[in-house]
Amino acid sequence: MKGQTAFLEKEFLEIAKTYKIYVIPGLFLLIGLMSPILAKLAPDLVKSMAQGLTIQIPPPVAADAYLQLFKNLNQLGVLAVIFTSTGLVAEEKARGTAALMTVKPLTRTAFIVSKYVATAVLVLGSILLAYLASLYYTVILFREALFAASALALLLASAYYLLISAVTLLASTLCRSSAAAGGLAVGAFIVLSVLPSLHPWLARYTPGALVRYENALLASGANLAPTRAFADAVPALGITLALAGLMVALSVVVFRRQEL
Amino acid sequence: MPDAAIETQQLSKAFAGHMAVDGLSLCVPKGSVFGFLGPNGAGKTTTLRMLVGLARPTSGRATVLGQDILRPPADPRQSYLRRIGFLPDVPEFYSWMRAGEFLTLAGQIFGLSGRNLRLRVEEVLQLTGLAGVKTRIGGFSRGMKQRLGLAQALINKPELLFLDEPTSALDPMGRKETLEAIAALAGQTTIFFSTHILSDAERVCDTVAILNKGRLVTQQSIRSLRQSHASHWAYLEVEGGQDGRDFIAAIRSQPWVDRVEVYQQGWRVLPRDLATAQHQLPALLAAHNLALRRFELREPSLEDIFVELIHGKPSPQGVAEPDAAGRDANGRQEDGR
Repeated sequence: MKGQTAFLEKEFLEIAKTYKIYVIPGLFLLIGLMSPILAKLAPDLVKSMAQGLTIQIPPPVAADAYLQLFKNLNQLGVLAVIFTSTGLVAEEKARGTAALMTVKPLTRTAFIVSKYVATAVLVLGSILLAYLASLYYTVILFREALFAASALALLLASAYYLLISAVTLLASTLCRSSAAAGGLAVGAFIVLSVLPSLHPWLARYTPGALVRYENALLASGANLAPTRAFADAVPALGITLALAGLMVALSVVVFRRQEL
Repeated sequence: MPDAAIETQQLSKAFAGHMAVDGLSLCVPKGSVFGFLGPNGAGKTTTLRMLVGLARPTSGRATVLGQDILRPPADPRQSYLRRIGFLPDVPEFYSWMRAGEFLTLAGQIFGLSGRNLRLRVEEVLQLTGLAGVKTRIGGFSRGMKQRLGLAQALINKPELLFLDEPTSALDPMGRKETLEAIAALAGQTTIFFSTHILSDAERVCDTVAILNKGRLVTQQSIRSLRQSHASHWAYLEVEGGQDGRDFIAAIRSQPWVDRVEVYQQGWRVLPRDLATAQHQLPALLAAHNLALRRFELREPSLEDIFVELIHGKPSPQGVAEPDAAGRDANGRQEDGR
């Protein structure tokens, strides 16, 4: 058991001592800070660009700040997580460090699980950072927090990120190179994003639906009924978390059968 | 053999239709320094990878330290992996770590902790000449990585050490030091050591197996291998250089001579019958009134044997009878070379 925790410790140290500690939290902090500001400035920007035309734009509200935040998180943030995680297993296989570690009494299960736990902690911490930054600026700029709705939306986004991390882990385990793993993970991300538009059932229960539920939550926030909007999201939330667990388990199974 | 550290039976590994290892049956006695020889691409690395559990055999079986490699014990703490060390051919590490940090991680995986761990890390750093190196592994030379590879393989005081080409990346000094480190471990640790550098095997190994194109060519002690394969030969130089045409012609006509090779300064005589040659050569020299400047009787090097086994005779003997007297050994030499 000691050996397995030593490897988890190594994963955390690796994040702390390499570029990842700057890139992911840094980017997420930037997203968190910029989203409310962009939401606040967007109408003025549009007006300044459309000189001579009269455009009626309703004044921005707190929900717009969060909509901007989650839109950025669900695109830019997800891609950043994918691209910084594709090497998780693939790179260790290509370099030969995976072989060097697993001929020792480090189980292959512990190897994969450590990678997932470290990535999940990094990613969840970063989203929380983005959210807190957004919350702060939203209160300053809009004098309104929409706390319940935005916090529940954060919960949904976190589950989505747990799945994205697990999908990237599986891609990295399946592929020999980080580039191939990146392609596979982005492909999976596109599929997840497109599925909800194919069928009403998919729009309710697949992980991609969480994005819609986040928007619904924020829209409901103004009407003070976020818990009802959240209840609608619970099945998709459960399915997303179950899928994330399945992806991690599959990664373990695949890795255990691989020749290193 | 009950006291085998490694035993394989018909071990095979196929890659896309080609047999990388083909029906390999080996027995590595406990306590031996076992040289696993063969040209590049013979299947040495693949065999090692199977034995340490990184690759799965296509067929056949193998036991390492008494455990079937295909049937790991239910409790991973009982696995033979706890009792072995492995140095891959091109060891790579986490480049952001320092040597001590990597060794600490390796030690922790083996369950070491606290003072024991610190002492052991210090010990293997000293042993491999890495003590005091403060740079990150990313800045290490290939030779330093090789030493760190050896250090991490030793962290758990293994009973059995697998070394895949441990010296091929090293400069002459590093090579000498590594071989000395291996020689120092001999006796306490069984060492399974793959190489294509024959002189290294000759320096430290007591037993060798020769692999070619995935198949075992021979397995025996270096001594019996020397005695049963390749012949002794004599090298001689005379005063006055090459003006001994009559002498060469005379030697070539002797029944105990297999062939004579002419060199810049002298001749290499490969006898069919060494004992007769030892008596007759000086007599012939005297008869031709030649003054001897240099006379050397050479044992076959592993290199000679290797070349003979891999390229020479089509079907060499599997295991030779041990302790045949050295001077009878050349009796096997065949014509037609």
